[in-house]
Amino acid sequence: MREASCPPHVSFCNPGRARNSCRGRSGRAGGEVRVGRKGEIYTTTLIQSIVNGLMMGGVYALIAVGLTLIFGVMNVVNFAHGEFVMLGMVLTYLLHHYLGWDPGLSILLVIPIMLGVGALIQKTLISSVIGQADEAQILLTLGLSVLLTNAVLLIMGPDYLSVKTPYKLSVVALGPVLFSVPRLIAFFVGLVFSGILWLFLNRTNLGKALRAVAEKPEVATIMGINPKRMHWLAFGIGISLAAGAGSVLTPFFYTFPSVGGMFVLIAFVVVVLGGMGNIPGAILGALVIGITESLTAQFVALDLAMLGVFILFVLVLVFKPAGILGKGKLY
Amino acid sequence: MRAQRLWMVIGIFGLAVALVSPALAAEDVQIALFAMLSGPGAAMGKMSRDGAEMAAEDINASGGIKALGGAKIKLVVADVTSNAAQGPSVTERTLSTGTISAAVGYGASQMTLTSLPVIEKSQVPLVTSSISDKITQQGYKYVFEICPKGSQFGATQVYFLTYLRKKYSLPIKQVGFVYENTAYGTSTAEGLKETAVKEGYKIGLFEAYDAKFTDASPLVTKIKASGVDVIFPVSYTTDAELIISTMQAMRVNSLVIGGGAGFIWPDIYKSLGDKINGVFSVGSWSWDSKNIMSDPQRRSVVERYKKKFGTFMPEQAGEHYAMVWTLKDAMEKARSTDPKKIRDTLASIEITRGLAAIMQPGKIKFDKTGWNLYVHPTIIQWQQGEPRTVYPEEDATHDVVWPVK
Repeated sequence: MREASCPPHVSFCNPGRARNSCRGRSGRAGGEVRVGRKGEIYTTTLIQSIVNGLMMGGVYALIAVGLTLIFGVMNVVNFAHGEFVMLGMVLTYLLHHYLGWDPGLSILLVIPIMLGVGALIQKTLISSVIGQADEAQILLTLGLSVLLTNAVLLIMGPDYLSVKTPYKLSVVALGPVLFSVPRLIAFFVGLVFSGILWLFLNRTNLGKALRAVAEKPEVATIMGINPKRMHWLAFGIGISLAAGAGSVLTPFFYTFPSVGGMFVLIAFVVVVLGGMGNIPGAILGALVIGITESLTAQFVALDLAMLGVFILFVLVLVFKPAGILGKGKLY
Repeated sequence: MRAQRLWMVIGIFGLAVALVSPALAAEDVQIALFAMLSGPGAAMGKMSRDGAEMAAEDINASGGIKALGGAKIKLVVADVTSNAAQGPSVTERTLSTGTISAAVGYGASQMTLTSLPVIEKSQVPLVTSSISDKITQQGYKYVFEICPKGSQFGATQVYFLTYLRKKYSLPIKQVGFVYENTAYGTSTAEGLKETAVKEGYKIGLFEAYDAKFTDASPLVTKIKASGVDVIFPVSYTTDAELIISTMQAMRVNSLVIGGGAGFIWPDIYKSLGDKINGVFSVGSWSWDSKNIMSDPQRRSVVERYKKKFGTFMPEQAGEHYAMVWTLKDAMEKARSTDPKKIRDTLASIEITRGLAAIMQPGKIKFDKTGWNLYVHPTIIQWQQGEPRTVYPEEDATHDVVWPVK
């Protein structure tokens, strides 16, 4: 391995050796970096940053499909969505801390638990504001968000918790391009679960019933579908996917009560960008946003990453106001 | 009927007064603790509270304030949240009781700066651990800054690098700076850059980033591509962890001299384990500096903290411990609980003994602006899971260790 024998920069493992054998890049940079090599480095950086963006996009996708599903079926904008990501992280942390479970295993328990929690929240809280004025929904979900953040703060404390997995710092190298293992796992889990949701909506009767309620609630009711039950299911699935995203985030991100806020803004952008209530749109939007964010950070300026995202967002709103793939189609 | 109701109301009020009054027993001295106990700053607030509460317990256990007949200290804890706009109203409400003799707190500079006008108006002295230079530049009379100033941190980091370079003959030419893009990061980074240029280093990278990022790969790719020998990140919490873990994963071996905050909290060790060993950081207080380790009484403070909380004493806790003791010393000298007299005493007191002196270098005196003129930042290195003081030499208890990877 290149790194092991002589790192690209001065190795500080041993100052003596640093002085003698590894003279440091700055000492010899001028002579050895040829123009052709520079182009190669540029291409590698480009591919690397697209890869980085895609991998983050997978996580955004999982958070956003839940949000868009809830909106598509019930016309409710869930402002507490980020807090469900946080709850997923906390559950995963607890399972790891007390039972030693790997996040990859915990997700299989976190999703059904949150499915139940979601159905319960829908039944007891959200159902009362469906069909009501927007303010009622906003206040309810925002209130829920504040409640959940502070409840977790009270129970778990404010510390930055972490789930330590053996693969936390592992990297898979494909030529010069590096894939962080926990992020790669998060990416695949994100895509697989988003894909399962898509299949569920398209290939199962229950999924078709859900879509029917989303598109024509009155007709669906005439056909014998109970819209209330479909709402429980939609909210349950929506937040359990967010919590699942939380599970796969834990190996590379701190868990703390207000962590949800760091992911939810981008999820909202993704949902609108992809078309509100449009699941393939949300997946595509998430990947596009992930890549845009990463490329802007890499090639424009690190702190302008979100600017790149919002420029893209404004452009899409101007030229395709209904979102990349249009509004309101769950499939 | 009416009379009966009136008596009932009087009875209830009487009961309420009887229940409340023991808490306000005349001999208690009330010190307000303004801490960020909710929102994103809550972790910081909790450490502050742990330190302040430990100080109050220690003072009360050792006989309270002797000059005031053994008066006990009662901490009045106020959650200022993590929102700078909330700070002033919480401060106002807490101080409006008129029973508070002095205050400690805030942690984040943003919170302190917005609340200072209220402190000044209430004429209650505040001892703060916030580091912004602006706190003592505005002519306020009631604020005392016990910690190193923001502008000192960058200089200390760069001087430390020069010290390392000379002592270990390191071939260092290019240095890089990455900093989070709010007031804290920008001002610190400017100071860093200025000193680095003065010290003759070539700047290979100078980039701001958004501390709310969720992926440090672009940033680390830039560090790698710039080929800098040393990187100075100015970060908060999640970003500090992401930078170190991504550098480890991408095998970027540049030397790291962090800007404090998330780089020296116990949580980063819990997340990265031994991978954090070798990383340097500046800090405003460190638990094993010479003035603490050389004094059995001060040493017992950090040892008891570790026993109680399971980690080394973090800077927020240590500073708040020193702050409450500073107020205690001032009240001993002032022989009064009157806020104005305590302020005047703080302005003239020189502390060289006792537990307030766990603040490095072991003595405290506030200058005309209210700033502790003896204090300076320290540099720590993570060694076997704990931050150890390695610089400046007057505070250092450990040598720099070069981890063999």
